[in-house]
Amino acid sequence: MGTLTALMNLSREALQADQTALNVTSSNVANQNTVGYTRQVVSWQTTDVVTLTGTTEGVAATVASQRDRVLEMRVQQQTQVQAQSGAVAVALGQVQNTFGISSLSTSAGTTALGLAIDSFFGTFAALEGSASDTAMRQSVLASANTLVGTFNSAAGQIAQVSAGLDAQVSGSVGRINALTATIAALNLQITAGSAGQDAGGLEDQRQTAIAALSQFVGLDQISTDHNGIALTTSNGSMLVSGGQSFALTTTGVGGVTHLVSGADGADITSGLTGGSLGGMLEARDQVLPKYAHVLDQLAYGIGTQVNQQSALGVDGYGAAGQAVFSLSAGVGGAAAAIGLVMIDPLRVAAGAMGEGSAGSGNALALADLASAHMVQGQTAAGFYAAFLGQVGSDAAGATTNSTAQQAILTQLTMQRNALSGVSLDEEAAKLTQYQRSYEAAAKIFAIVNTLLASAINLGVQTSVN
Amino acid sequence: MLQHEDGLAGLLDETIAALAGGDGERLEGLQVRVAAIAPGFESGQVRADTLAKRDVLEALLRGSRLNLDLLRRLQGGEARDRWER
Repeated sequence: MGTLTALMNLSREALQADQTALNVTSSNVANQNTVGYTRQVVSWQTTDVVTLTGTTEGVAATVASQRDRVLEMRVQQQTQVQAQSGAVAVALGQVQNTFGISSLSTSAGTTALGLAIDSFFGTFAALEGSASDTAMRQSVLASANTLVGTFNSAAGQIAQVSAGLDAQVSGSVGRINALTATIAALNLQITAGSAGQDAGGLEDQRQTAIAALSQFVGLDQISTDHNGIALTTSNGSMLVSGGQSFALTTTGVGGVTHLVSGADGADITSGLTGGSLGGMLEARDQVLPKYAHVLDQLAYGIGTQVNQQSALGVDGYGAAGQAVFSLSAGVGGAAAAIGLVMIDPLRVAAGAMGEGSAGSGNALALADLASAHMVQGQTAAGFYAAFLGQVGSDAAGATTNSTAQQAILTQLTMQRNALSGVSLDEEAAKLTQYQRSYEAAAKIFAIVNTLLASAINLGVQTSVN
Repeated sequence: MLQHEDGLAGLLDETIAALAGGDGERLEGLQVRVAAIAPGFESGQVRADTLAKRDVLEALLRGSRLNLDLLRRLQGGEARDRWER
C-alpha cells in the first residue's frame, strides 16, 4: 500500500504543479489588457500587448500570434517538468538496479545485500552447534567478508550513479551556454529590426532555441522592449538579457560540481529546478545522499553491534574477543569504509565469558543479533527491507510521474501544432474533437477507477470532472 | 483475474496513447471495450503497474482538462472581443 500511496501522492504533486503553472498562464491571458497587471512567471510588458492595426486582417494575425505564444509557453513549461521527471526516473532506475530490485519485486531476501546479511548471522547460528570446527569458523569470516564486499559495492555503485550525474551536470552547462549565446544573438537581431531579414523567421529560431534550452533547465521568460526576451533560471539567475548572455560556470564543492551564475558569480546549484539539469541535481543532491545515508546507517549498525558482542566473548585461543569489522569514526561513509579485520578463524569469539576457548554461548548471542533492533529501532533485515521498499516506491513513482508528464507534453505539443496557423472555425472544430476525446477518456477512467477501487478497497474513489 | 487485469492494463495503455494523441474515435471504441470487461472483473490483488497506469491516465486527464480550458479561453469570443475592441 506504501507504493500506491507514494504513486498517488506523486501524481497529485505533479498535478498541483501543473495546475499552478496553468493558473498563472490563464491569469496572464485573462489580464492581457489590464493596465498595471504584473504577470507571474512570464511577464509581458505593456508594450507587448496586442497592437491594433485597425484592420480585421491585422488583428486576426496578431491574435493568432499571441495565441501561439501562450501555447508555446505551456509547452516549454511542460518540457521543463517532463525533462526533470525523466532525469529523476532514469537515476532512480539505476539505483534500483544497484540493489537488484525490479518494479515487481522488492523482496529484501533475494537481493545481494539481503542475502549477505542473512548468511552472515546464519553462520553464527551454525557455529553455535560446532564451535570447535575450524571450517565453521572460517565460514563465519567468509560470510563476513561477503557482507563487507556487498556493502562496499553498494556504496560504490551509488557513488558511481552520483558521479555519472555529476558528469552530466558539467556536460549540460556547455550546451546551456551555447543556447543562451544563440538566443542573445537572435535577440539583438530581432530588436534591431534587422533590415532585410524576416523578423518572424528570427523569432521562430529564437523560439526553437528556447525550447531546446527548456530541455536542460527550468526558465522564466520576460518580454522586453522591441520584442526582446530576457531569460532567467527558475531561481532567478539571469541567463539572457537583451543581446547579452551570461554563461554559467562550474566549480567543485565537496567533490561535486556546482553551478555558478555568470551574471553575479553566485552559486545557484541548490535552487535550480526544471529541465534535465533540475532532475539530475535533484537525484544527485537529494535522493542519492538519502539512500547512501540509509546504507551507512545499516553498515554502521551491524558493524558496531557485532564488534561489541564479539568483545564480550572468548576466542579459540581463550583470549578476549576482538573486533570483526573496521569501521569509520561515525555513520557517514560507513558502507564504503567497512572492512574485515579478523582474518584468523580462531579469533572468532564463539565462547561466552567463562566458557573457555571451546564454548559457543557468544556465537548464539551473535546469531541472535539478527533479531535485535540494531538500526533505528529495527532489525537489520527489517531496516533493509524498509529501505528497499522505499527505493522501489520512489523509482516506481518517478517512472509513473515521468510517463504522465510525457503524455501531457505529447498532448500539448499536438494541440499547439494543430492550432498553429489555422482559422478560428477550424480551431473550434479541433476543440470539439479534444472535448470528445476528453469525455470518452474520462468515462473510461471512471469505469477503471471503480473496478480498481473495489478490488483493492480504496474506500474513497478519485473522480475527474 | 489475471487475464482480466492484463486486458485492463492493455486498455489503459491504449487509452493513454489515444488521449495523448487526441484520437476521439479510438477512445470511444475503448470506452465500449472497457465497459464490456467490467462485469467480469473480480476483486482481489491488483498489480502495482496497473495502478501506475491508472495514475498516469488520471494525471493526463487533469492535464487535458487544463489544456482544454486554456484552448477555450484562447479561442473564445471573450478574448477576441477584448483584443478587437
